Amino acid sequence: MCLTNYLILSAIFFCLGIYGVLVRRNAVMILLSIELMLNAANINFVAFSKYVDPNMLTGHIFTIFVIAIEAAEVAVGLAIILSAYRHMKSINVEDINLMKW
Amino acid sequence: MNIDAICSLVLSNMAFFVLAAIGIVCGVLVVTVRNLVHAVLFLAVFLLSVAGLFITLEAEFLAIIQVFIFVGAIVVLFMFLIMLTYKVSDMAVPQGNRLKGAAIVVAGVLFCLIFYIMKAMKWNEAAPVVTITDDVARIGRLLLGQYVLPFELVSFVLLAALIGAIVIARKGE
Amino acid sequence: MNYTLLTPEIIVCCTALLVLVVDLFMAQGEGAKSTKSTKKLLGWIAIAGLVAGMFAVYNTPEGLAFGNRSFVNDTFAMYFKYLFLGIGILVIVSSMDYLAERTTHHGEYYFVLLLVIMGTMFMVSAGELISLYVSLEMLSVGSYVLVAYLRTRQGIEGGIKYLLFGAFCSAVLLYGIGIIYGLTGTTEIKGIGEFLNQGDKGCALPLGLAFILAGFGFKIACIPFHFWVPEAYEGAPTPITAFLASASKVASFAVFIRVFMEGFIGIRQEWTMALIILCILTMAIGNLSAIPQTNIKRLLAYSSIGHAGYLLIGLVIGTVNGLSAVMFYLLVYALAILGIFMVIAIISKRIDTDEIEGYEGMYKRSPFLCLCMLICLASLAGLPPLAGFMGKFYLFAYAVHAGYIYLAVIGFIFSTISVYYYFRILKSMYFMEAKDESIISFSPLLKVVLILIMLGLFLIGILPQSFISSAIESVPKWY
Repeated sequence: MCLTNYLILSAIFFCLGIYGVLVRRNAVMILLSIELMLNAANINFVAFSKYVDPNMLTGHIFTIFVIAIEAAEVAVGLAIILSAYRHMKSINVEDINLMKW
Repeated sequence: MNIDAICSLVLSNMAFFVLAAIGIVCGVLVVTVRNLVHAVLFLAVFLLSVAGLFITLEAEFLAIIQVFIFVGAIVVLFMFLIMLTYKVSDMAVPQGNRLKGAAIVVAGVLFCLIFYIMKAMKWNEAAPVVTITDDVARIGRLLLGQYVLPFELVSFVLLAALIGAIVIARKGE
Repeated sequence: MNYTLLTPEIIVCCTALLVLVVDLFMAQGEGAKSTKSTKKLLGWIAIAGLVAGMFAVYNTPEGLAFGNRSFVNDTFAMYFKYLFLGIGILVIVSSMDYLAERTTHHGEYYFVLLLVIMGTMFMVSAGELISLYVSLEMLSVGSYVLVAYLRTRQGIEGGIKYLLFGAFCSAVLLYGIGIIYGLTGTTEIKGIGEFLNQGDKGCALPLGLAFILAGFGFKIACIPFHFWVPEAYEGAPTPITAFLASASKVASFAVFIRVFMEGFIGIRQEWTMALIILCILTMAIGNLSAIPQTNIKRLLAYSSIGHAGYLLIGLVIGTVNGLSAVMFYLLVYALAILGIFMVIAIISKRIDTDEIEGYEGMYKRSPFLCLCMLICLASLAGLPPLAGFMGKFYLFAYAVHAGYIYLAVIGFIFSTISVYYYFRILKSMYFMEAKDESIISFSPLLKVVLILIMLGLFLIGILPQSFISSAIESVPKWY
C-alpha cells in the first residue's frame, strides 16, 4: 500500500468536511463535519509517520494530542450549544445569527 | 516472493480499499443526511473505519485510542446533546441552504487541487532503520519524555474545558 | 531537563489552581457582604500570581527546558511574557469590577482566564509544532468558554460562532501542519527551517503554507478569516473582549513570527506576495467596515482587524527592524485597546448598552473617563505625541526603508480614515447633549490604573527609544 493512496483518501475526507461546514446550518452538524476534517488530518499524520519518518513516531504523538484536544473542544462546544438551546430553543446557525455581519 | 507474502499484500490492499469505501460512504452520509441521530451514527462508523485505517498503517495503539475517545466519548457526547435538545419527532433538521452549489464547487476544486498535488509530489520516503516491535512502550516513553510538556498542557486544557463546560451548561440563574 | 525555566508558567498555573480551591472553601454559606469581599480576594490572588510571574520571568535564564525544542525561553519569548502578564493584570482589574453584579461564579472565571494566560505564555515559547498546537488550543478553548461565560444571548451567539470558526480553522491548520511534517519529517520549527533552506522542496509546500496561513490568519483576525471577530467581541464580557483584542492577538502574532521567520524564512518568496495581499485587504476592509458601525464594541472589533493589517506590514518587511517595529506596535496597541475597553466596561455598568448613542454627553457625566478614552483613541489613531504615533511611525518608516512604499502609503491612508470613526465616538461623548446627567463613579483602583495607562501612552510616545531598543534586542537571531 503506498503513501499516495492514504493522502488522497484523507483529501477526500477533508473536502467532504469542508463541504459539510459550508452547507450545514445546524451547529451540531457543523461540528460533525469538522470531525471529518480532523480525522483527515490525523490520517495524514499517521501515514507520514509510517512512510516519511518511520523511526520517530512524531506523527503518532501528534495524533494523540489532536484526539485529546478535540475531546475538550467538543465538550465546550456542546456545552455552549446546550446553553444556546435553553436560551433560544434553536441550534441552527442561521437562527442564531441574529447579529448583523 | 513466496505465496504467503503475496497473500498478505493482497489482504492488506483489500483491507485498505474496503475501509476506504466504508469511510467515504459514511463521510458522504454524515454531511448529507437530514436526521441528526443518523448523522452521528454514520460518524461513528466513519470513525471506526478510520481506526481500521490506522491498523493498516501499523498504528494499533492509535486505533484503540480512536475507538475509545472518538467513538466511545465524543460520539456519546453528541448523542447526549441531541437527546437533551431535540424532541424525538423533530429530529430532521433544516439544511441545504443556498450555499449548496458554491459548497460543491469549493470542495470539488480544493479536492482536485490536493489530488493533483499529492499525485505529483515525491515525498522523501524513508525505510525504518530498526523494525519497530514495541510501539506502545515507545509512545509511552515519548509522551513522558520528550513530549511531557504538551502532555501536561493537555491535562490543563481538559480541566479548563471541563470546568468551563460545567459553568456554561449549568441550570439556573 | 531544566524545570527552572518554567517557573513563570508554573507560578501562573499554581495561582489558577489556588483560586479554584479558595473559591471552593470560601464561597459557601456566608452573607452577601462577605461573599463579595471573597470574590474580590480571588481577583487579588490572581493579580498577585501574575505579578510574581513577572518577577519570575525577570529571573529566568534563557535556554531549552526539555530535550527537544518544545519549550524555548529566549528574549523573544520573554518580551511577550511580560506583555501577557501585564495584560492579564489589567484584564483582571477590569474584571473584578465588571463581574461583581453579573455572575456569582468568579472562581471558575479567574481559573480559566489564568490558564488562558498560561497558554499564551507557552505559545510564545513553543519552538515545536506539537506544543505550539496544544498551547494554541489552550488559548482557543479557554477563550470560547470565557466569551460565552455570562450566558447572555449575545455571549452565547458569539461563543458558538467563535467556536465553530475556531474549530474549522484549527482543522485546516492541522492539515497544513501535516503536509509540512510530511515534507520535512520533523515538527521542530528550527528543523523545518533548516530543511527548507536546503532547496529540494516539492509542489506540496505552497499547499501546506496556505493552510497554515489560513489557520494563523484566523487567530490574528485578518481578512478573510475575520467573520468571528465582531460577534465574539460584541458578545463577550467587556474585559474578555479586551483580552481577545490584546493578548490573544499579540500571542498569535508572536507565534506567526516564530513559525514564519524561523521556519519558513528560507522560502520567503513563496509567501510574501500572499501576505502583502492579506495585509492590504485587512487594512482596507477592516477600516472601511468600522465606519458604519453603531455599536462601540463592534466598531473597535473592526478597527482591531485594521490594526492586524498594519502589523502584517512588519511581517512583510521581515527584517530585524521590521519585526522590532511589530513588537513595539503590539505593545502600544495592547496598552491603548486595554484602556479603551476598561473605560467601556466601567461605562457599560451604568448605561447598560454598548451603542455609541448611549455615550452621548458622557463628558458631563465623567470627564475623567472621557479624557482617558480620548487619549487611548488618539493613540490608536496614531496622533502625536502619543505612543501609537511612534508605533505607526516605526512601522511605516521601516516599510519605506525596505522598499514597500505603497504599503506605507496605504497604511497611512487607512489610519487617516480611522481617525474619522474614532472621532465619531468622541463627538458623541463631547459634543452631544446628555439624556441622563448622573455622575458615573468607579473604584479608585481603576482610576489609578487608567492614569497609569495614560501616562504610559505619553511616556512611550515621548521617549520611545528605550522601548524600541528593548524590542530590537528581543528579536531573535534567526537570520
